[in-house]
Amino acid sequence: MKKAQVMSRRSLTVSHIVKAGVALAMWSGSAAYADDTAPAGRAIGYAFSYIQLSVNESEGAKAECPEGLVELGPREQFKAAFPEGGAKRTVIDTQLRQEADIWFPKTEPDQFPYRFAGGKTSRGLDLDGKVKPTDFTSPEGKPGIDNQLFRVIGCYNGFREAGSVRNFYKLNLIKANINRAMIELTDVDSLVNDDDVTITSYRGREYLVADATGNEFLPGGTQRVDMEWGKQYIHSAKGKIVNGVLMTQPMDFLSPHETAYQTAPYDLMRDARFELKLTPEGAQGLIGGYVDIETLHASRNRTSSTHHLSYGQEAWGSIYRALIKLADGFPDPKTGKNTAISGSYDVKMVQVRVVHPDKEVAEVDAPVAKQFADTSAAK
Amino acid sequence: MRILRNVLSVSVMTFIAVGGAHAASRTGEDYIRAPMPPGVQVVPTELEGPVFADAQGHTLYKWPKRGLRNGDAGDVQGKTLCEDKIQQVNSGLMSPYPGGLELPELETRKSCTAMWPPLYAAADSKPVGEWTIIDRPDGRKQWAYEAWPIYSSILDKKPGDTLGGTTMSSISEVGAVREPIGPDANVPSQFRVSTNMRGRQVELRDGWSVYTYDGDNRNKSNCAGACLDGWQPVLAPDYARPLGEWTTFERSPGVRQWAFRAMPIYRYVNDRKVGGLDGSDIPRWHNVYTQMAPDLPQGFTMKKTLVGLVIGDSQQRTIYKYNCNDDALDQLSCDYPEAPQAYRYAVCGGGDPELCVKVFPYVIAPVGAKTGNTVWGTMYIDPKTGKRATAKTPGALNVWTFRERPVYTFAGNRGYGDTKPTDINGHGWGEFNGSRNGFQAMVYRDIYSNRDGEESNRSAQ
Repeated sequence: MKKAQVMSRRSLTVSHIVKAGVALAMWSGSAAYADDTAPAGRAIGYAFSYIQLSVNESEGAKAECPEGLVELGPREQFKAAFPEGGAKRTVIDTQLRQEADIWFPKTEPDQFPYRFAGGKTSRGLDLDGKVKPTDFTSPEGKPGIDNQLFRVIGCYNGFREAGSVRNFYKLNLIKANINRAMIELTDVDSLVNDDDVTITSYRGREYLVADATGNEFLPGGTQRVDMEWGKQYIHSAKGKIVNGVLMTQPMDFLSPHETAYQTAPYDLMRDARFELKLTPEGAQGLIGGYVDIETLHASRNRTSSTHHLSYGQEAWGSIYRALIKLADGFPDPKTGKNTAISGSYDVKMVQVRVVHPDKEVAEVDAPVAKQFADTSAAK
Repeated sequence: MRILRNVLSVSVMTFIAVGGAHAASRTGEDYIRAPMPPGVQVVPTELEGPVFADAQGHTLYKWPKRGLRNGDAGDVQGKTLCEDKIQQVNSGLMSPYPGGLELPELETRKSCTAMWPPLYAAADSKPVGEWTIIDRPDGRKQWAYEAWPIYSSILDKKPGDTLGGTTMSSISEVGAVREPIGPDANVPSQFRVSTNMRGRQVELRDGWSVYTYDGDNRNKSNCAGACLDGWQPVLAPDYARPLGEWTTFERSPGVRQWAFRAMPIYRYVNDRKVGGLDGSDIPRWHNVYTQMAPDLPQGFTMKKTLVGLVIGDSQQRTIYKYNCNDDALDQLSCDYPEAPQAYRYAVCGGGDPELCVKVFPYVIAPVGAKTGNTVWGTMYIDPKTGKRATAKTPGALNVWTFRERPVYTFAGNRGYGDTKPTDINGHGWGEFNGSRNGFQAMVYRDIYSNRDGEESNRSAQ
């Protein structure tokens, strides 16, 4: 690992020297290596206009869920566990017991059968460079795809294209800005081929610019980087662009959500790698990595209530136990148990102009405090 | 390091100034005098401004109908649904759980009227102003204000208490909650006043924030030229006359501008939402309050998080409040220590009180700690039961409280909890994003929703 890092640093240094030469050449009027796809300022930003956990859907779900979609959601599990006409039902022994299992899932085997997604095909990335029996093949035929999360969520309506909660996530992209995930690529000399670029994730402060239908988003909007409240979302890695496709080294990626009371939950993907087809107007592709299970559990339940999750039969006590069962990454140093599960996001992005307000923030920091400390008119 | 420095800067400055510079304005909101029934009075409160109170000084409340997931709960105008009957089962109004489930601690449960004594009217009472009289099912008369049946709360013990409810905005899933009632604020018709964690904030009638400028003089605006690109003077119509603490002045010939406590009033053109406070990020510009909220306890902090400024304890840990309303027809709250703790235990410890204390620990207060106000305080809690205790109760904890409810931090479980000052990972923990039965961070300024003081209508999903 250390050797690889040393190598990486060395190649980085060489690359930087080359790029410095390119920049010098550009400055002196020669285009040198930069082509006409080089973004202005050698940087380009993209805001997420779509992000959903990858679920490969066949017609009628026959390939991945031959027994059908999950039917035992929170309502159905409640009815099965606490039937009418039996023993006296109390709030404590029924409703609160079920809520307790949602927020503090028991780890013993589930009392309800679990419907895992199967089949051989899934979107996602090969995270470990191996082809294992549990791996999938991508729709394009690439083997070794790591996406155990698809097995856990693939048969839930709530995670599929027609799912209500999935639709809420889409709507929230339109009506909120607390969930403004975006990336910026820097050191870019070409959007087609560049062996050394930098990707940085941010949260933006602005709304997306929607088209007249409200369903699609337009490129060209401005996004201020949220340096005041959203530094937690900033992560960076190196990458390269090959034939118009960005491929990055692993980095943590936090995906912010909007909720009914904007409680700011987020998902955490460890060792996330971006594989995106780039254009000057947008980007589209996958982010593959290891989804942190505790964060996913908390974010899904903090984003949507049991009521909402019932739309898609998401019973999170059961889902949590399934996640733990198939977890395949980031073992806890103390217990050795895996804390994350391989998965991927399908993403679409629109180009945005990224504004870094660092200087502005530096000036504003203190007055923010002062404002809330003082009210002239109240004197 | 810079974040920490900024956070410390925020906390120190906020504490210094919020903590005492405006003591005279704490309960200083002016209101419109209007006829009231015999015995009803107006009492100043630290959080809600002036409220109506009964002859003993106890705050008065209404219980307006709210649409819940499977039906409505609460009064309708002109009719009370608060009965002298102890509810035995839940109503099933809150999806996804069915009705007919036996409620917790039935042996000590009170009826709606026992928790919320109606403001009875004498048999020969006559309507006065906005106050009318309705007939109760038992034949007695009850006062109504703006046609809403009126009650007091047995949680309130002394004049100025508003422990029964708040007018701060909440989503409908909170339940059909009670709200304190009070006289109209004495503001010109272009303005209104709403309650939030910062105080009683003056806004335009349609909810846009207003501001004052340190560079102005008394009843004189110095905002001209480029300044006006960002700031719109709030102009007074020709017919406007001085009203209480409100005056007008001529900013240019024939053009008059409103001033509050002699400070000219503006709107910020770059506020992007109703209730937005973006203008207050500009140096020397401030939002306007008739009275500020009470001081935080000594050592408490204000810190930057993913949603905005949030209250933290002395160690920069996010402070959470616990929300709870049961699902019976009378919609009694269960967020205070005397109420059944089974609801809280379910979402803070999976039903286990010991785990609950580890996951959402109480915020321990020094023995003898005082706050100088009645909103923040301390009480002894028996951590084994979650109920109020005394100093002599074995194992009792002396904990900080807000509105006589303990406050908490989020240590978390299985490695998921608050570890950094910016964390608010317990925000929205529990049923319906923590608003129905669960925890929410004590947000001082919400940057993204700007929902303070704005009635939420986001329950359509």
